[in-house]
Amino acid sequence: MGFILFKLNYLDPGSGSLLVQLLAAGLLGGLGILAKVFWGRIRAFLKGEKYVPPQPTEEEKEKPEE
Amino acid sequence: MNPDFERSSASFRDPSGFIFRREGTLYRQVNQVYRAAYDKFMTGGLYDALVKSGMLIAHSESTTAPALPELAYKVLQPQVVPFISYPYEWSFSQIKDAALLTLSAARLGLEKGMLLKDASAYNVQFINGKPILIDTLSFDNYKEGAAWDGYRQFCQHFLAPLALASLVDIRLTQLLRVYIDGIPLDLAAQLLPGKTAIGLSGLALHIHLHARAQKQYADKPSAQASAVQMSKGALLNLFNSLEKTIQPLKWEPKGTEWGAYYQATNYSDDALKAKGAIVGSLIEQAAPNTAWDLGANNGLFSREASRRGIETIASDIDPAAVEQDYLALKAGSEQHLLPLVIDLTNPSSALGWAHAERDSFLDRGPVDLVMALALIHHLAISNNVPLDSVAQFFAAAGKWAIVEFVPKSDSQVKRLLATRKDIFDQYNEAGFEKAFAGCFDLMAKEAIPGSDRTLYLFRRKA
Repeated sequence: MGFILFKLNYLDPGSGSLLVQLLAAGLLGGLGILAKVFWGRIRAFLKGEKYVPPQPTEEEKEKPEE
Repeated sequence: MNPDFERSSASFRDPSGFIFRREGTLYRQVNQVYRAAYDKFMTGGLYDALVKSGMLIAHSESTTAPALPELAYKVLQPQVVPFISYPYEWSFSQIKDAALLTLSAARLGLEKGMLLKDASAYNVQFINGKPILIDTLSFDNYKEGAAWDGYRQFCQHFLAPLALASLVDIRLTQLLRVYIDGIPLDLAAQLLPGKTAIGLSGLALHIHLHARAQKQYADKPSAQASAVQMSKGALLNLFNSLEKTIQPLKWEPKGTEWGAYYQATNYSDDALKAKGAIVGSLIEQAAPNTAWDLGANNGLFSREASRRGIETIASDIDPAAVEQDYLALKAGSEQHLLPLVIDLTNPSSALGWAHAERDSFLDRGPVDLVMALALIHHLAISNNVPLDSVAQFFAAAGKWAIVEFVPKSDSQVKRLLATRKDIFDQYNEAGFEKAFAGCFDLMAKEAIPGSDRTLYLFRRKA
């Protein structure tokens, strides 16, 4: 469902900006965060490691890109 | 066939709609693509809540034909803003108040099930001393899980300039003139004191970590980023966190050029009152609707115009004077006055795409009346501008001009000349009158009691 969010939006939210707002909202508020893929990225980012994306599940592969 | 409308050259980024002008009236076309959001905005209570609390300009739906009918859903006639100003012309507290307004609007939007989709400082204007949003199409339907697309823009347009002004130097707000989409966060991060990068403070996250993340993820497609999902609570946390980061940022004017001018000047209280009375009577002779007080300092004499109901810009080069002016305006709930930071020796130019997104200062005129009190010696002596060139600029800016001539015998001019060679042979009353006679007719001339100075009222030649 994620890609739906970007369809009509005219500003490029920026991948890095998305990551940081998620982090900021989580760190400063401590509640109500859901990140499917990004916790791995956040960990890798903070440790300065290279991030290896998890393999998509069969269900996700079938989703159209746009 | 030529179109019967003129589309605003600043209104092209957002496909939701655009501003156009037809027969002198300003309209906003709402496009079909924005239909669902517009209907929810109007019927779901957000528009009413924003307008009632003075956070958004009102509009009425118009029956005029749309500019681009194939795209159109509706045409609106928005409330007109008396003067469009830009964030690089605002004093510290003006930027701060605009930032806090943006966050309040975002929060209110979320309450009503809508998400502010951008956070441009250019969407804020000042009317009667208060910041107000002018973009009616800024809210989208909120969908559970959505992140805030305006986050980066908010940090670039508001947080970075405020942090730099507060913690480094007020002059850094001028970077907004160079970077039309706000100060790049990596640049802000480099300029800010190193201690702001440490720990989990708002600035450490929203500027420093943000800058690093942007670099790290610069070429990563947003399709992957769309895996980020935030709850409503998380969004509210984000707005609150930004507000908590901005609230403690302060700027106290000290050590700038003119902050204490009226204390340092050789005018006595009585002489100031006398000067105010003369200025007031000259304003009444000109009977303007709009005025620019150039070199207005903290707006003491600008108020001779604004309190007569004249829409007045009080511009000054000194951010401290403008800050003082704005804070006084805000405290007194005064109307018809807008203080702005403008360096007349290099006034705001036209900026942005095709030089047409942001108008130059002069292009936002002309006005009915230009006021230049105790200014001429700064232009002519400090900046070496020939007097006839000063006259030409004033004639381009306004139909009438009230100009105070400050002769070489005045202590302020003596001070300016103390450190340099006097190369200004023509700088005297006769030379001044001759220079202005090129563009203006002299309508009135009055000596200011208790000084060597003279006030002039000029009317531009037809």
